[in-house]
Amino acid sequence: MKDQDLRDRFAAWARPIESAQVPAIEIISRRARRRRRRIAVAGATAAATGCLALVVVLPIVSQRHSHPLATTTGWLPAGPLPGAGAGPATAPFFVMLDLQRDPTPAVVYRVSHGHPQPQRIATVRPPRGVTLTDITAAADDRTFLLTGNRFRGHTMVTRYYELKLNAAGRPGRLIPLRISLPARPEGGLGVAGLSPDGRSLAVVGQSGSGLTVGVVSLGTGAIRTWSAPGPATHGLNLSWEDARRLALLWTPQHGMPEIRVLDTSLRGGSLMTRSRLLVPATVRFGRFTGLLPAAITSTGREIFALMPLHPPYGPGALTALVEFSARTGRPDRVIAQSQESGMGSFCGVLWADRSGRQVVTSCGYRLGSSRGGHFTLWSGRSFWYSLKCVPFAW
Amino acid sequence: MRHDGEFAGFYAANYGRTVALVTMLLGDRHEAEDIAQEAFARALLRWSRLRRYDSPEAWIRKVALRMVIDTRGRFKRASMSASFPTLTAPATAGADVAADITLTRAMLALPLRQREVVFLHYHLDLPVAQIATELHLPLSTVKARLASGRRRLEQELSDHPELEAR
Repeated sequence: MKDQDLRDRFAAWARPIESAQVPAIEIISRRARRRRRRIAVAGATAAATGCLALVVVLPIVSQRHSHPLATTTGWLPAGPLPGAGAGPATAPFFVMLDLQRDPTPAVVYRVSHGHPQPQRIATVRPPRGVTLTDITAAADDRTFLLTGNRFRGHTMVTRYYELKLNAAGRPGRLIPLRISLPARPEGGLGVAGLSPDGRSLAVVGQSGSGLTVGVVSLGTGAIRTWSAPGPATHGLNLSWEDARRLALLWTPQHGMPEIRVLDTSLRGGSLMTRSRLLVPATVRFGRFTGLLPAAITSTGREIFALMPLHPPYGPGALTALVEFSARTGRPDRVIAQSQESGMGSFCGVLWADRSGRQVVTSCGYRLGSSRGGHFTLWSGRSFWYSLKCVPFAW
Repeated sequence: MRHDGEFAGFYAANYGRTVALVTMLLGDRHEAEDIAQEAFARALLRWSRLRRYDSPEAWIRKVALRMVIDTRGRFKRASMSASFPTLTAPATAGADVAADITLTRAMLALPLRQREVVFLHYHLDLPVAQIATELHLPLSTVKARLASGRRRLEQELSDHPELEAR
């Protein structure tokens, strides 16, 4: 082989990589970096303390007094929500945190059927001193719950805010809710979820070497918890199937990801014994095997999750968004498939409509939607360069 | 921090090459993008000094290669624990993809030190003397790694005629 042949082969190999679009780069000021680092450290400390309380103290106290920590919020839907059935409704609005700005605002977008590129409608600034960290949505497409942290002295406290949109998608002001949950154990995508009827909030947290799933009733303040060994940070995502059942994509200790269904109306205890295995780690569908530890979404009838084609990493790897039956756990069809060879382009499913015809996924550093088998990147802008997960709710 | 226009040009011109370099060394493009962006982020913080260098891209490569060394152990452990099979082309993949995979497999069969020298020389067209300077190695060491890496790469590729079909 001649040297020039080798050069040509390297050039051919590198061409798609070198010609790919260069992402925007953003440097956060030193002051902001220090502030974020301080919040992260304080958050980790508060999370550990909070989860310990969640696991050890709450079950004991809740047996003696009903609703000891979570106070009545007074926040309940005035009437039946339009999409109060199972899962998220098809919606023209979504809210996303803009992590490129400090303090991080919540941005409201609208998507119409004819225009898959989202249109920015409004920006909601957080209250002074509050850093927004997460969003979850009710099924009415108008009610969102935002999580934020703020410092009280040297202690970080978590606050929850209700954000209501009017018919045109214009946001009202943020209304603080009186939910006295411990500090959010894990920030980021997929670890908190508002039930479709807006009455319950599910959170996931770390407690020592184990994980805890907690469900708080926003109306009464009652809290139930389920625990299991293994780290909560490792690929745990949740999605409500209906107002009672919670689908969990969970990676057991020393295991591979699987999907379990938890009936939250049952009493708390062991997550393993109280939940039902729906999709095992060994699931196969055509050329795809197993599940990826990514976000899942449920409509009540279907669950959408990612499956890798072996090999899952490196050139040639493909990722498929697969629809599973929520009743049997069987894979039914491939909704979308990464179009690139190389690393799978789907890093996570953020949302899917009831029909499964349209899904929203993160793609590298960008977001896009897949409709009718075609994937559309939403814009050329990238998100915060070191953060692939964008808090998002639809 | 102000986004310097001069830096933006430098970033646009060199980002892809840096991602390619790290991808070839690690075999993981997403990890490579993370490393490249981190390297450029560090460069931006020092740009007032780096812009006076003869070759700021050499600084980027140096930082990226150092991060590759740090990342490699973690990456290797993660890959091994998941028991992933060796890279194979999907049945529906075209000849280009198959050839890319074959080249990647052949390169990944080389020790990291040989891989970086081979790629720097044959893809980035760096002279042996410059590689020696950038890697702080004696010239003879670079030549030896280049020769042995080249020889082994040729052996690995010799059994894969799909490369010839490109």
